[in-house]
Amino acid sequence: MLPNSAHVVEYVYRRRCYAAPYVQTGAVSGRYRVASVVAAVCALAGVVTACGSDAPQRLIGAQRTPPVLVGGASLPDVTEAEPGTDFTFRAEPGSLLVVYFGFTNCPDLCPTTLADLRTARKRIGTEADVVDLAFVTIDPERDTADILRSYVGSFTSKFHVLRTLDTDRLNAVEEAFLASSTVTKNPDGTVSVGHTASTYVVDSAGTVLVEWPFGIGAKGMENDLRILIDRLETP
Amino acid sequence: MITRRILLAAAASTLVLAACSNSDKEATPKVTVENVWARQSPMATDLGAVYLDITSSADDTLTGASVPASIARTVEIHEMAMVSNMGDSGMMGDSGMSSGGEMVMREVDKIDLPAGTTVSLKPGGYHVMLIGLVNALKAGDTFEVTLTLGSGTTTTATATVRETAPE
Repeated sequence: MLPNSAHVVEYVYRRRCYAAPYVQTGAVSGRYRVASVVAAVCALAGVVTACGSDAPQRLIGAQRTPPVLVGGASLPDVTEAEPGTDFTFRAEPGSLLVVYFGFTNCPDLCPTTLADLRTARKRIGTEADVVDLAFVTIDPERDTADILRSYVGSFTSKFHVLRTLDTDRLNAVEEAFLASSTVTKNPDGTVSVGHTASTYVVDSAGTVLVEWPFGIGAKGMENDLRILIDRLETP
Repeated sequence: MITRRILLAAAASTLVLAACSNSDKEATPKVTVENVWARQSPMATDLGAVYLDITSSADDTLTGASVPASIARTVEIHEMAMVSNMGDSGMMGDSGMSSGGEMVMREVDKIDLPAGTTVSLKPGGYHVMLIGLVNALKAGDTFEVTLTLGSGTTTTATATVRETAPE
């Protein structure tokens, strides 16, 4: 915690006051006024910088107005070997949930996003333990549960992988996030996949707090996660 | 004395001539490839991406790439492109980037290399895609990447496998 600059300025100001009686009256009052204005400005600046310097205040990602609500959406959770209950898109109380729609046959965007998230969490340290990840496959035919667990597991140990072969259900969930994806099987047997490639941070009420377009990078994610984690701690 | 001057002049002119002929050799385009890296393979994938910065001293194009067969089966050059999506809400955020379009990866025949300009193949943009990795790429591994240019020049650089992008 930085020393409170306001206190430092006040101390200096008081010192000056005691020195004042030794100087002629006219000069004293002039100096007094200037010193008090300077002190006031410094104190204000000190308070402002002391308040703002510990945590960045502006989210770099995008926020929608009105915010997107995804708490009503859910998908089968295939993280455990035994299929459990459906996963609902809400963070645990006191946590944040990062959601990404991707696929494992994605050599560029998906590994980059997951690697950036890993870097951001590492840099924040233990405070980032409240950040959970849900990876939804948009290519369920090729991405089996085993592949998903292995793939996402190589980036982090705290995650959920969600998969459904029900295209309508997947599309409905994507729509809730204002995301989309297209999987096209080409005549030559190759598969083309397009997806919105954004990452979403959701709170325990199921509100999307911020949306990161691809390219925001580890620094952007770190910036926003620090702010959002701080907000969790101060209700 | 005069002899020495003549000798000096001869030496000087020889040097100049040598310099001139050297600059003739410099006429072949020079290609510089730097910051070549590949991402460590997440498990359960046989695809990889190599990123690099390439500068050609003359206008040229990057038309192909190859790696040893012990690394990957096929190599292609790909780009990530934004395809517009119906129903785009047109949202903009602080980052100045809009979302709503889908990113699609597709193969490209060539990447233009304007003379003297460094073209970066980086995440979200172009990359050299490795298809059918023989073994998962592990951080610290290195392998040769040979790049082919439209002019016929080929150049080889060493790629280093990393966990995260170099900053």
